[in-house]
Amino acid sequence: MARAGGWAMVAAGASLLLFLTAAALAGPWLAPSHPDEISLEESLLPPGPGHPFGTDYYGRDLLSRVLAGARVSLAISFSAQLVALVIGVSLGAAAGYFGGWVDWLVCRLVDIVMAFPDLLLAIGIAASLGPGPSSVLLALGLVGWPGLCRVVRGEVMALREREFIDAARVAGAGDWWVIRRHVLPNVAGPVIIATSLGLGSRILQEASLSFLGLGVQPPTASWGSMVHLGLRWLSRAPWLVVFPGLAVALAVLASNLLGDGLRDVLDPRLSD
Amino acid sequence: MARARRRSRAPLLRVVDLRVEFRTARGRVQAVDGVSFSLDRGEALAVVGESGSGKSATALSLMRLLPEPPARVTGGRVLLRGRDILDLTEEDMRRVRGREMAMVFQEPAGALNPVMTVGRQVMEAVTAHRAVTRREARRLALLALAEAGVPSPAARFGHFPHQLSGGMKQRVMMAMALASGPALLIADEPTTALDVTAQRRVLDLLAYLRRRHGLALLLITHDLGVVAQVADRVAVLYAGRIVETAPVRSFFRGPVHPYARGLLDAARMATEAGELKAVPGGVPDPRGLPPGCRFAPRCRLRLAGGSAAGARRCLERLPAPVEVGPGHVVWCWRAGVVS
Amino acid sequence: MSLMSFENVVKVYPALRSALPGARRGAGRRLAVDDVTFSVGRGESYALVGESGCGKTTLARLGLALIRPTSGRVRFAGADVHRMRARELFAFRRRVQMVFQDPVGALDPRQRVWSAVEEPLILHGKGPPRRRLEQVARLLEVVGLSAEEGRRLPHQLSGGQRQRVVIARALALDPDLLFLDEPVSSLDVSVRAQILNLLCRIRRERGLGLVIISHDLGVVRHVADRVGVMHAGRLVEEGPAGGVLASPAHPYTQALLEAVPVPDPGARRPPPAQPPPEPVDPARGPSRGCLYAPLCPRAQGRCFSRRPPLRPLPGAAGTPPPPGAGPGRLHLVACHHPER
Repeated sequence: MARAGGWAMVAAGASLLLFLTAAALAGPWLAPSHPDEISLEESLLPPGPGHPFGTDYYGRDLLSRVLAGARVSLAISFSAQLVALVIGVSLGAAAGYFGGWVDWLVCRLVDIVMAFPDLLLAIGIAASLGPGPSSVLLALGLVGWPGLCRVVRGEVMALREREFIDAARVAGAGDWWVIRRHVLPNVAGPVIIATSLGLGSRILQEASLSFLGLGVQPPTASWGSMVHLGLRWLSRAPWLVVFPGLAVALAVLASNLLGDGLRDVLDPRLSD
Repeated sequence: MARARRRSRAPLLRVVDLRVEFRTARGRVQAVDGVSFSLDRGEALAVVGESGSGKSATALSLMRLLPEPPARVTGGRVLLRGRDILDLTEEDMRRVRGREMAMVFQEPAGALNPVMTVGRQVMEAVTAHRAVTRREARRLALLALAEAGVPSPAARFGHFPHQLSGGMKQRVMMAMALASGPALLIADEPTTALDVTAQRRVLDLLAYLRRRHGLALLLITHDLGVVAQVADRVAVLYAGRIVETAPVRSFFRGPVHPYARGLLDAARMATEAGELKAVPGGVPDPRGLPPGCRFAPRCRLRLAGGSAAGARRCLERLPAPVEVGPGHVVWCWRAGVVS
Repeated sequence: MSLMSFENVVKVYPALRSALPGARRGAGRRLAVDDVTFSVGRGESYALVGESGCGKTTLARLGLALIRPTSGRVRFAGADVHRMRARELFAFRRRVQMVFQDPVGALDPRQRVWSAVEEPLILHGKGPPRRRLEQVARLLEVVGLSAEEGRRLPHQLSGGQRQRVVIARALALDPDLLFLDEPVSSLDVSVRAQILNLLCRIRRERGLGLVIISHDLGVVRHVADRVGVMHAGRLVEEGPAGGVLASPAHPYTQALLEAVPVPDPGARRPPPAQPPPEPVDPARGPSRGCLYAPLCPRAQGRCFSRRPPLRPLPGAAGTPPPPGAGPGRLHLVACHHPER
């Protein structure tokens, strides 16, 4: 029963995420107009037939901007999570497999990173790298890996105790072979779960950073910066905040659904 | 823990046509498929079987401890002193557990609470069924530990399970089972996790408890050596059905069912032309059982020296019971040929 | 000449820290193997017998160079296993293989049978893929698995089939010595005989040396040429299997043999008049005496003060050694009061 529910969640999350990604990629063709096209006479129009999401102060079409923002926000979040994945998996696997001082070092590093509030640390890193999408991407990646690292380390430590790891060594396998052929494939499940759950955090953090003006610079749209700009007109034109905010919420919901569903489906404690 | 020996003809426990089903992701599995047996006061019955035979499911369903779902008792009766415990409410059943029948498990480590002293755990078992003062509970707990062969129980009272050896943990679990003076002890592979010398001591302990307290014993095991040492009667279980039941001496003189004979050969490491005698094939997949004798696909007798029609009968029709000696019953189409 | 020899091997594990209540902090480094010396000849079958925690599995891991000894050495064909360079160790891996106790744990749950059997062949560069697959097919046939079973994942096999996979994998490199850690104890009784017959057949056909680790004296009696009995990390008795199992000299060996429940109700012991006491774990500390003394019915004064060395059974010198036998044929015992 848990598995059936799990598959439903996976399906919902994955299709929502796929839909958002497809919309982002197809944005230039779907959008009614160019996202940066200014048309002052159409300033702050409410949602209507010509502009389904309404327009902003400069009369730019909001739907076009949300779509363009999706490209930026999702690209940065996905890449940031990829950075976190690479760092987290390599450090976690090394710590769990080799133990000893490697493990000690990695754990202290995790402790240090986790001692700071995620967002504060990301702001610090992004600010010191200078504004721009690549610094946000890097900052979010550097903040996001400890969770994955802990998951991988724990799984690998448990795997190490399994006899098939010894069996591979007796067959003549070296560390690299054992890690690549026997350790990593067996942690794939938990890694996939943690990655899709982490993606939600990355999306939220990216929105927060660009809300604070640390991401892409105007006039390029991103969901966070759109919410920031819209706040000034909140009482007069609430749609300026509602639509990009909704996009963020949907994206986060999608990746959380996917992650939770995958946990139900993949968790070996629930399967045979 | 008084001697409970009333003169009565009725058996202490009677299991009639018990059926247990497991619902798995890949369909339903009949784990226990019409098992019947009875157990008199003070008697020891060994239920022998391998993995998938349904022996543990049988034991757990007698205690109503089967995990439901995925398991479900789909039929049969379990009569304890004539009362069907499958009909009892959970509250009434709690009164039966411990006071009338108790159970010890294969893994003592898993059955004990790791963060509670063993003394307190035995005391809890005492107070579960008796309204006694703390001091009296402690006295009874110490007594139960001593009866279970724990040396200087007062000294062990404050110990945590992980400070004790596997054998000692098994004794503590025995003490908890004995604490309320049950008439029947169900022991599910009580020696499998133990070393040989610890196993021997537990077997001696079971023999002692039966003699001293008149305890009836339902022993679940895969080891015919253990059966020979403690049981009065044997029932051999294969794929959820009893294939042979007999008084222990009669069984070890000559089991009749080819599967039972294979088990005894294996236990005795019997050889034939330098090789160990082996039962062909593996433990059966409960989803691929023939409608007839469950053992037929692995059975040498089915094919050897018989007609094709006879071989087909083994696969297609369930064998009827044949009494081959006093109290010695076999479910095998070939039983007449063999004995 | 001996193929593998253990020379005064000692293995100490560092103390474990436990978070459970009542655990003594930092208590007890564990002396898992305590000065063990024995050797296994080419094509010989040697059984290590003992109860859990006696150090027999640690000995196997030492022999396979999976862990390093605290002191002493393990030699294989004359070379110190724990001082080998990477290249030598790799060659050693080809010649010494292992069959693990638990075939569920010993197989990667995500690796198909043929892939598990092929892996050692890939690692040791045994021919192109086509040749390797032919070899895998041959190995599966040797252990009695069908090609269809070769395509399955471990969880789709029965216990006996899984153990056959583990054996096929261990044989892939055509080793000279095979360690077997309780090869049948996790299997169902009706399947054990098949696996033991398979192992005996393979040994005969390939002239394979075996080190069998087992607590099951029936298995040992059937498979072993020589037996070493371990207690508390030490070898307490060693000799030809027939001699040790038929006339054990060490009281611990005797206790082990007596404890085995015989499948014969005629051999049943009368119920005891008292609950048989569970012995309290003797603290394995810096005792100078015999470690079995606290449990031994024959223990006397010097058993508690002097540790008995492993030496030929007194009176055994008169028996003529079988032709071509070295000191390995002797019946040795570590006891101040051995029984003849």
